[in-house]
Amino acid sequence: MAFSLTGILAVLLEFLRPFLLPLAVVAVIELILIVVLVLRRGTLRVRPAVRLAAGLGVAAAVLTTLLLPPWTGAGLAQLSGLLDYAAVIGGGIGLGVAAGLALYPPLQLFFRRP
Amino acid sequence: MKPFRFFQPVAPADAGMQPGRRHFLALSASGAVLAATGLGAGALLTAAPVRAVNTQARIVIVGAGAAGISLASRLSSGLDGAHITLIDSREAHYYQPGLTLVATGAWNASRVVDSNSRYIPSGVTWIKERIQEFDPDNNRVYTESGRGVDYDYLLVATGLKLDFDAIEGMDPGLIGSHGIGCVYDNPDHAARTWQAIERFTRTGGVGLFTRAPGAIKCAGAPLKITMLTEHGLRRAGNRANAELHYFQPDRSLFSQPDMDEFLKEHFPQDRGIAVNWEHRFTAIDPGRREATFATDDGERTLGYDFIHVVPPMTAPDSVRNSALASEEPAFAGWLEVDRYTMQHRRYPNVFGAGDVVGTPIGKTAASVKAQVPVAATNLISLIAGREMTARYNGYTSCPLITERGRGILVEFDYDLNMVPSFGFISPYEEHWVPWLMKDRMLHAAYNAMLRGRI
Repeated sequence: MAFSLTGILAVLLEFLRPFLLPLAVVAVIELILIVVLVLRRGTLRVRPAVRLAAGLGVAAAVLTTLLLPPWTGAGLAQLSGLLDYAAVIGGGIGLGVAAGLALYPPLQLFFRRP
Repeated sequence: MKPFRFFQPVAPADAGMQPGRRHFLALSASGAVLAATGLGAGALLTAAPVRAVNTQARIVIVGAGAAGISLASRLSSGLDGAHITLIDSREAHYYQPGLTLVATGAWNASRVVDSNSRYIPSGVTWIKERIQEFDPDNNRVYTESGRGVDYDYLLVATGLKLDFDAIEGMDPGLIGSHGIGCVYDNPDHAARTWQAIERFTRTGGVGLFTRAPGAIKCAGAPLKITMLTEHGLRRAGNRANAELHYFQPDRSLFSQPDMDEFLKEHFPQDRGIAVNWEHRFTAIDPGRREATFATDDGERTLGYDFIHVVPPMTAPDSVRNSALASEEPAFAGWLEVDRYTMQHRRYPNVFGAGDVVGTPIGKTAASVKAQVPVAATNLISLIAGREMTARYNGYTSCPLITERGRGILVEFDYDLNMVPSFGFISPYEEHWVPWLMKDRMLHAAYNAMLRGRI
């Protein structure tokens, strides 16, 4: 059975449906923070904020990788073969990137020149 | 026959990467992109531009299960001006593919209970009554209150009927007591089945797992319940105290031949489950905990501590006793449709989808997903005076869960050829990913299907 990109996105939308409201709130807050950061761009110390956000993103990726199988009621010992490891690591990387991107704007507010 | 590779020793992650590093990286990247883009999915999901067909046709859909609601969603968006009526008394909607997970303790029953009103499109008239009679010669159906509803086009999606009466001594009220379980039909049965299985995994004893003859919905469910119970016994450290028997009315465990061959070895050799061929479950004595089977050598009665009952299944009486029913011996009583177009073979303004149709395979939610677009598209073509070109190839799918945390994604068609949707998921290997799909993703796919989006 072929799945179109629209079909896959429709499934993702249904998967996220219970969380859409909190996700929308987070997205609005992020947007406001980004606007604030753009307005204060001259006072920002970007490098330490990016480093910290990246570090937390990596931590989130590792944690997600380790917790994905137990989240489904399975154990790490039940992973078998390339497919399972790729899915777990891919999921970890994806959520790690998302966490890093989401954390950067609030973290950046703490790294400003006096 | 491709070789099966089950229960592989878990290789270290770096060792697993050696042979196909490129493939691995591609898979990981795909997973990462899917996960990262998931948050933006809603924004990209504006409805595709569809040129709806203008019509004043009166369309009646009988049944508000997976097929009926999906049909209503697709026809609502594909037709402009049609009068669509849905007839079903049920207000609750059960996610039936999740019942095996409820019956084996992986899910709470509340996870499979939803409401039909959440999915029925606005503009569709919902008559909350049971259907009593079909009168296709006069293009009319009658509800249980005697109300006649006329139609120009009819879609039959009633689902099927569990015939517990066909088993002497059996009553659905017994499920959950006297060591009796039955995964089918509703979350209450499934939850009570889990109570019985949970007791059995603690006490051990003799477990009997039956399978009704003829067409049944989700034919993989009896196998899954058997394997998950066996795994439950292992998890409880009680496997040595249990004796498990599977009873098959014919000599085939699974319609797809590669999977059949695998299971015939896997059950006795890997899981220690004895397979009893050509045993038809006919009677139960709950008080004495005895089950009787009809065999070529006469009746055979066995004691049990747990029994999984799978009743015979038929089309609902309203279909079976109507002119819409097939008289072909292989599909007697089921809705007579052309297996490719889903159009009734004698009444061209009637289509069908879901468990009620008389097709060689296809009583699963995955089949509904494949049948509904065909039935809806062909009906719209018929209304528009165009040639009906959509074809159902018999697609069905079974995430064959072998233990809690692992499974095999089996997909095949009328020719019993494997037709994997995702080339990177082998239908010949046991993995965690099919379990992940079953546990976390397929419910979302099902809901998207109800909304007519996939």
